[in-house]
Amino acid sequence: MKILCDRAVLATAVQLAQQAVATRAAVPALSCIKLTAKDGRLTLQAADKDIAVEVPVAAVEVKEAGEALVPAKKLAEVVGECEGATVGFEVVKHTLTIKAERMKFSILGFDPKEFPSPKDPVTKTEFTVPAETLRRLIVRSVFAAATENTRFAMGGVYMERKAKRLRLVATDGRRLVVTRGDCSSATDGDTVAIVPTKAMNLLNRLASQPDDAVQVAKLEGRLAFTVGEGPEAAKLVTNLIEGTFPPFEDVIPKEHDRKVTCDVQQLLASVRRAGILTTEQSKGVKMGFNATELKISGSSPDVGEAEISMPLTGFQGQPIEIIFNPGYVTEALRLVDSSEITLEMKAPNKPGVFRVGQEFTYVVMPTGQA
Amino acid sequence: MPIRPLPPNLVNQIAAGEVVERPASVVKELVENALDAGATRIEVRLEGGGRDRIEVLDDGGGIPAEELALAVAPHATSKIASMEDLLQVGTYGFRGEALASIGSVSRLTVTSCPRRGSSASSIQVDHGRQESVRPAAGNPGTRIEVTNLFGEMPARRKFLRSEPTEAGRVVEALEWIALGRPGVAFTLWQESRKTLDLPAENDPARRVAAVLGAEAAADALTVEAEAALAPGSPISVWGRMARPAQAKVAAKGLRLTLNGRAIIDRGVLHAIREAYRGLIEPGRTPVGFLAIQIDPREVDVNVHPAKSEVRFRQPAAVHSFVHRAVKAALRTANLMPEMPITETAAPSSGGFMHFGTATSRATGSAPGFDYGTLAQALDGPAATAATALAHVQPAELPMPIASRRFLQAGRMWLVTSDEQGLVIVDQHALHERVMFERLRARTLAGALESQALLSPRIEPATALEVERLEEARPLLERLGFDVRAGGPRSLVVHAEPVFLIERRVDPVELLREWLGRDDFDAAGDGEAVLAKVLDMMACKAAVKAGDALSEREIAELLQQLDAIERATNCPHGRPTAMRIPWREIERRFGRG
Ligand SMILES: Nc1ncnc2c1ncn2[C@@H]1O[C@H](COP(=O)(O)OP(=O)(O)O)[C@@H](O)[C@H]1O
Ligand SMILES: [Mg+2]
Repeated sequence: MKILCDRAVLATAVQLAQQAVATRAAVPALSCIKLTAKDGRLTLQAADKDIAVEVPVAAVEVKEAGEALVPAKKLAEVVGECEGATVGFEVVKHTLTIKAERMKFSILGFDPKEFPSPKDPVTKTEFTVPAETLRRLIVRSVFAAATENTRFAMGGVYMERKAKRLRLVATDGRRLVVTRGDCSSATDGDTVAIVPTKAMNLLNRLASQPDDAVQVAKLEGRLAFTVGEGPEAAKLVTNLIEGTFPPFEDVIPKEHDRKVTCDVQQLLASVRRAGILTTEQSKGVKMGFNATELKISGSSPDVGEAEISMPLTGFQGQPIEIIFNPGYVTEALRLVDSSEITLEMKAPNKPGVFRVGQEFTYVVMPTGQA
Repeated sequence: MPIRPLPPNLVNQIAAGEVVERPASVVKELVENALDAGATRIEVRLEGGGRDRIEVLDDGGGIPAEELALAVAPHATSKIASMEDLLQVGTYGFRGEALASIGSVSRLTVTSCPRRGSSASSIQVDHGRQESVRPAAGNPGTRIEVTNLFGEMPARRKFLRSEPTEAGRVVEALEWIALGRPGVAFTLWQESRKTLDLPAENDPARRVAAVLGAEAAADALTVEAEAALAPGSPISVWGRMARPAQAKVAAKGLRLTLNGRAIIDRGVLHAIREAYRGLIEPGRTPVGFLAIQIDPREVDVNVHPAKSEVRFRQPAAVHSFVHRAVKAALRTANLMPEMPITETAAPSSGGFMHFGTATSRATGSAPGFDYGTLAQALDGPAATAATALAHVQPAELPMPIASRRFLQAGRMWLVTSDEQGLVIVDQHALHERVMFERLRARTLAGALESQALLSPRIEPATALEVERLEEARPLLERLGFDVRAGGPRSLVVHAEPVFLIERRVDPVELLREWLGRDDFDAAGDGEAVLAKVLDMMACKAAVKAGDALSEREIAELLQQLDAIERATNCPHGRPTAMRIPWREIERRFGRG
């Protein structure tokens, strides 16, 4: 193999591929990136036991086709250090030599055949979604997914597509988010899957061109995402989390007694300020709503207390005081891209529901005393 | 190829792959057979690390001439006769597979004399070809010889490692078995050198010391506990665990036996590591030996052909039993390393000079404060030398301490100095103390904050835990839990303490640990009981030894310290800080 590529484009692609690599791989090949140069193109492949990605590198000149398999971490470090406009790759007997301005590195690699060859059964695209939509849905859902995989929080994001409507749902057992968007085309029937959080985060990065289309196909127990068109497309295949997602429809309140619409930025700032003097032992902020005003207070016996107020218009219902973990509120408000958000409540010990139209529903359980 | 049954010898060779992997597995099987035969002295001889020759000699009951042929036949055993027996295996062997397997892959000679006065006979099997029984000479007991291991299976033979490696594995296997049978004498000969000599002992602690080595065995802690897994179904543990400072990166210093059988059980190993958590660096494994005795009905040993893995009927209960037993031993021990000083032990290494230089540089100028160099100096041998200084005393911490610059050393200690000397703080102990005090202050102001769950979390539990739940309810509410029984074997959690979630501690894990404690008490003196649970919470939530802390985290931790009274002891009563007085340091440097 002998190629010449644009340094910046390469660096981005390598970084991306590196994200997929297993942090503690059982087989050396799974801590590697596989490089394939042929037909005038360079493709990077990386995988862990659940996820495989294929990242195309545009802007290359292939002088001699070939393959290489090299440790991802070292490759990323080396490419990150390179300077100049272009970087040259050459492979001799599994050793990858990287040449850039005033630099030359030779990384000892492995036999490319050791890289698990992707099973590539013929698949049918179930739906296609604009990259921009998919990213928005991902960013606004993964934050609420549990990092640990316990039985009641799946450690993944629930993806459901019915006709052309796509929903992503995530929960850690204490809050739940449902985001919705539209597909650009879809087959009849439904797609339902629980996708590992890691795959979602990777997909978010792969789908960085808003105009790309993302095709989603279901394989046996796996989902395949193709970002972009033709040979330049990036691909991600992920195993799915088995099991049933918690029956989330049941925890979304069907009715409410109080409702108010607030300015997102103002609410975010107020909750953040009220949370400054809270501690791990005294975390909650109390939100007191009445017809004209929202008072938010947070305190801890050993640090102090804060009281923030903001004007309200159009509060419906009886005054209420409800306590939330301020982190849960601010995390979501930061991700919302509309200027207003609606909050619905029923009682101090019942969940609060933040909504932005039909597209974003966030159910948060209050804190308090058991 | 048409379907045909495999020839019996091939069947044995395939089975042998599971039992007989290398010399160590041969030795294990043969020694276990000797023990099953009631031997009191067992002698093992190796040539070429066992690749050339293995011999195991015992003084056990022997095999009568007329049973020799059966002994080397597959699936023939004298140890169990029925399915019922299989459930309550009291012997090491029961599959009747070892001798046949070994005979299928080597040249095996069994010579045995059942009792004094009767004559010996012997049988040979050469790679599955059985020869006839012949009269032989020999003392009462059995002598088994294995030569030419994998001689007709070049592929398998190629997998054998170098002589020292294979011999090392034999030693390991033999030691492990010996730990479980202190009353039996074991010797190992390699070529003509005696490399292991374990005389019969009455006191099992002496056997452990002989195997673990003097360093680890010195002031090791005795673990001893007994409980019932179910009515009439006892479990007990006895063992010797080395102090936390002895923990190793390699896991093989920790060994288990179950009813005398060497086992590897991830659950039990985890329980032991958990008990040491906070006391040793993550990634290290404590050194020691535990012998667990359990009602045979509570365990399935017929999981793995080499029988090193077992399956417990109630793994969670066994886990929490072992965890508590080890934890209890650690709790009663005074774990502050002693700092003996002998006048002759004056440090002579360059490390000490380095230490001095670094310190003076560190205090020299503010912008040039070189954390890296100082940390390195403290990380190196100098740190160990420093802790060996005399007159080290628990420190009344300088106030206000937060304004001082600390650095983290060995990912475990925060180091600074004050007018009187060098101050060393144990980060875990300090954080634990700080959190304990804050939690206690917080509970005085009302119940701890509680995070409601979207839908109840249903978790399996032991009958004991469920039974204790009712009694614990009022206290649990003060802690921010809303938990109810969900039948005889499960807990239903409706709300969890915010504090634990924030600290990324699984609230249910803590809950079950508390409910399962030996000294569980939810009814006694309110404050004392509360303090005990808060202590558990603080310990679980605190930073651990081995957690790297950023400068900001250190500053935050020390800031909290200022707000806390009595911060010089962690809730377990261990000191959180020590001071080495300047005059002591000066004296050591010959300036005093
Ligand atoms: N050292 C020994 N002393 C007395 N009997 C033995 C000895 N080794 C083997 N035997 C006899 O040979 C039988 C078969 O041994 P083995 O193949 O290891 O199967 P197992 O130990 O599972 O019964 C044993 O049941 C026992 O009766
Ligand atoms: Mg046996």
